[in-house]
Amino acid sequence: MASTSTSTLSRKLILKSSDGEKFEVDENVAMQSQTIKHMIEDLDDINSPIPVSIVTGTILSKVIEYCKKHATEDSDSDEQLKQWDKEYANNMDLNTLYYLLLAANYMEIKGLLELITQCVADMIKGKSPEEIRAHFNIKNDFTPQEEANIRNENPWAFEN
Amino acid sequence: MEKKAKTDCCYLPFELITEILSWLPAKSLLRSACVSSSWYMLTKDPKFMKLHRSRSLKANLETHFLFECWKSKVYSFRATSQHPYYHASELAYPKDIIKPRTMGGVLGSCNGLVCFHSITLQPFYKSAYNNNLGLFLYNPATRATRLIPPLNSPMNNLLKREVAFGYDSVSDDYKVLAICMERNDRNVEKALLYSLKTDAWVNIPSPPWQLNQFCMSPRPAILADNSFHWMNPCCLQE
Repeated sequence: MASTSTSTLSRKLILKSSDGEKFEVDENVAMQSQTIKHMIEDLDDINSPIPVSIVTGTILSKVIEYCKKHATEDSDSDEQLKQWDKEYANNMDLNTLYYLLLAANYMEIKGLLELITQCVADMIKGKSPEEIRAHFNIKNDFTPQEEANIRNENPWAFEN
Repeated sequence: MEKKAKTDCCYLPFELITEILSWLPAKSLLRSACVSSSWYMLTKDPKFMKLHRSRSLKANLETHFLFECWKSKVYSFRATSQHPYYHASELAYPKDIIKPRTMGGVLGSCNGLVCFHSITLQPFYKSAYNNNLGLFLYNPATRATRLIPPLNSPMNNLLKREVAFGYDSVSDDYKVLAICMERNDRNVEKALLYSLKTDAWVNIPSPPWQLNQFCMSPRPAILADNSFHWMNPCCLQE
């Protein structure tokens, strides 16, 4: 688990969450986020904390956990990394998952974004339209006739 | 702020909804089309369709599908790298379009899309005069079908010799190539290409090959590396 396994000399960066919590991370860990990568390029003083304005400390620590795992290309095989990703996502409650999704989107971390969106997709896979609406808090804006018409386009899709 | 979090979190930006739905299998996606009008529009959006297709192809990268017709029944064979032995299951095909009696077989399949030919039970290179090739495309995941239109009217009286179905990754299009011969004394061979995108046939004015040679191929075309490959019996001796 040692993060010193990489030979490149890694600079340290400080990330600051929306609620003021500070995290010291290796540059290669933080660089997984395209947003931070661009921020560093424009930064004069590398030692000043980088604000991650919409992400709370609790969520940011989870994001860093993911980035650390994916920054070190050590002994883990693809299969092991996939397994780690799966356990990582499964350990989150729904609320954390949504905030993590917003964070991954804001911070532009492609791998994390794909992992979480896939995880949410798995949750709604077998659900009925009514259940999906409740899940995402979506208002049904169809008239009963319109909804019936759409169901009739592919009636087999609604059979269990 | 924290108190409201429980309900706030459910309002995801639409771009994230797009990302989530792009991972769904076809059946769940068709189901989610009636969640709301914006979701319905999304499932019909060509850009989204492309994303969805590339994701499902990637997810099934190590899955191989084969479709085969036997005794008027169609079977799909599935193999993955973890389970290299083909798992066969019967495929429900649209019987209103293709009657079991006239089922000719599977011309080819690409990315899970199957091209059937009907009307004749003969192999294509021996089949009868008909400018309607009796071809249709079928997507088993969405159960969508598309009949391939007959050849253009000036192309009447063509004797078809060879037909092949494939996916062209350069133009991101599914295509059918038909090699035909005019039904007269001159024995002029013609090459015609159907594109799913334009839903029309075009004549290939001067095909870069000699038609009469490979039409003797004892086996149907094989698609590899974006090109059709035929066996040329004349070259076998060399």
